[in-house]
Amino acid sequence: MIDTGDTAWVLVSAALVLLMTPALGYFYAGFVRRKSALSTIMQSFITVGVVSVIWVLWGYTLAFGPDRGGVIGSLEWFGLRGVGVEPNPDYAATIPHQAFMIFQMMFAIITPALITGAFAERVKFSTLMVFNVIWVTVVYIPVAHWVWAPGGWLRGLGALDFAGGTVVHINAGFAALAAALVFRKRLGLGQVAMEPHNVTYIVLGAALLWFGWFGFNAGSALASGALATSAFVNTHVATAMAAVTWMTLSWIQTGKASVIGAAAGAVAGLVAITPASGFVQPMGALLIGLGAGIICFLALQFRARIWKIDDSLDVWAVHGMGGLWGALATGLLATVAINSAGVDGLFYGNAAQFGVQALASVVVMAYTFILSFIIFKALDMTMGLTVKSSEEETGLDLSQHGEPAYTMEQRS
Amino acid sequence: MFEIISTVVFLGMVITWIVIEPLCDRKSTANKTGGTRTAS
Repeated sequence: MIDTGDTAWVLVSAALVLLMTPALGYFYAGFVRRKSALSTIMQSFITVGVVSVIWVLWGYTLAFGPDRGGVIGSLEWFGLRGVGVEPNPDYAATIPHQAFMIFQMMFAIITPALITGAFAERVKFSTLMVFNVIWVTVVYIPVAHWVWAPGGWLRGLGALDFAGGTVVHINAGFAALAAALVFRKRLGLGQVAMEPHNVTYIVLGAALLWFGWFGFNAGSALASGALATSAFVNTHVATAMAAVTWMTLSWIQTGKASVIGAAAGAVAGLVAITPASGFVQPMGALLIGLGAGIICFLALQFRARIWKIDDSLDVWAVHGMGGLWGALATGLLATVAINSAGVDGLFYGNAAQFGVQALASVVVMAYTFILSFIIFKALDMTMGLTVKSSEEETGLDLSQHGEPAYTMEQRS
Repeated sequence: MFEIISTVVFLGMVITWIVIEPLCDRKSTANKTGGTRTAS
């Protein structure tokens, strides 16, 4: 039976999660040079369109349709046939099935958008569009089915992922790692300054992501009640702690309290609490935020100083490693005192759950990395991944879209 | 039926994304004044 409060909350949450994708566009755009700012926003914005169409045609049915062997859904709900306003008790008994479908669509949208940070300022737009279609179909949809659909094999093993630590963040983070290994580096990297062109965009984007993430996590309760409240509180606590932690580390490192560090830390905290948000207590969330700030900060230092791959906006460090930490921390800190539908973690006497979380993480890391690597290689050999050198020097705004981000005369 | 038509139309757009750059490049090579893109 439909509950109006639950339905209202899930629909508002879907809108909140939708907002996160253009927010991500602003967050990423702040980091790049001004000549590619608009294209960076576009790479997120158009993903809303592309993935929404995929989702209603074949995405939702393959991800959440009736199970086929634990690995994929059937085509029974192709074109949303049979996905109406009556609740589907397999997913949420008190909201229309279409409310669940549109909420899940927003997760499918933001995941490929996250990957775009790995090849900022050099990707060929046409190739990116085709990549979005292939990657969502071949990588995102199966992983979502494995983890979230009834009959999905990782769900069957008992893997916990409240709002997408594995499905969204490990998935995007390790696809980004594959991208960074296949794409050539930005021209002049390490020789010319590539400072963020607008740090206020970075803070604006991070703030809107923080706001939208309440829908991402608390909305994943699929009802407006105690569990949504726990997820909401945990989301905020972990994010706050991670922002403070990263800022402090950057302050120690450079002698200045970095604004970018605070913003990046907040995003790392949001990522890490995602899988755990509906399973842990607030003090657990605080620990997860602390860990996220430290682990993602160190991963970024390792990537930039030792590994020296051009994961331009550190998608692997923040989403890959932050998602991994969150998934593992769920296996440590989960408690049935918060969510009776979950299980206890290692710190509450159930060591096996940590092993299940580790297994699910490794499976998703390996699958997304290998498949994404193959997709990028295939696109490189056919369409080409990067723009011409002259186009990169011009900037993606003009070379790919024929429109500059800024046209007003600079006076100060 | 609508689902099939919509899928065909959408996949048609995907094919357009794949072929549009080579076609534009060929056109701009043949006629350097053609096209509106700044860098091509």
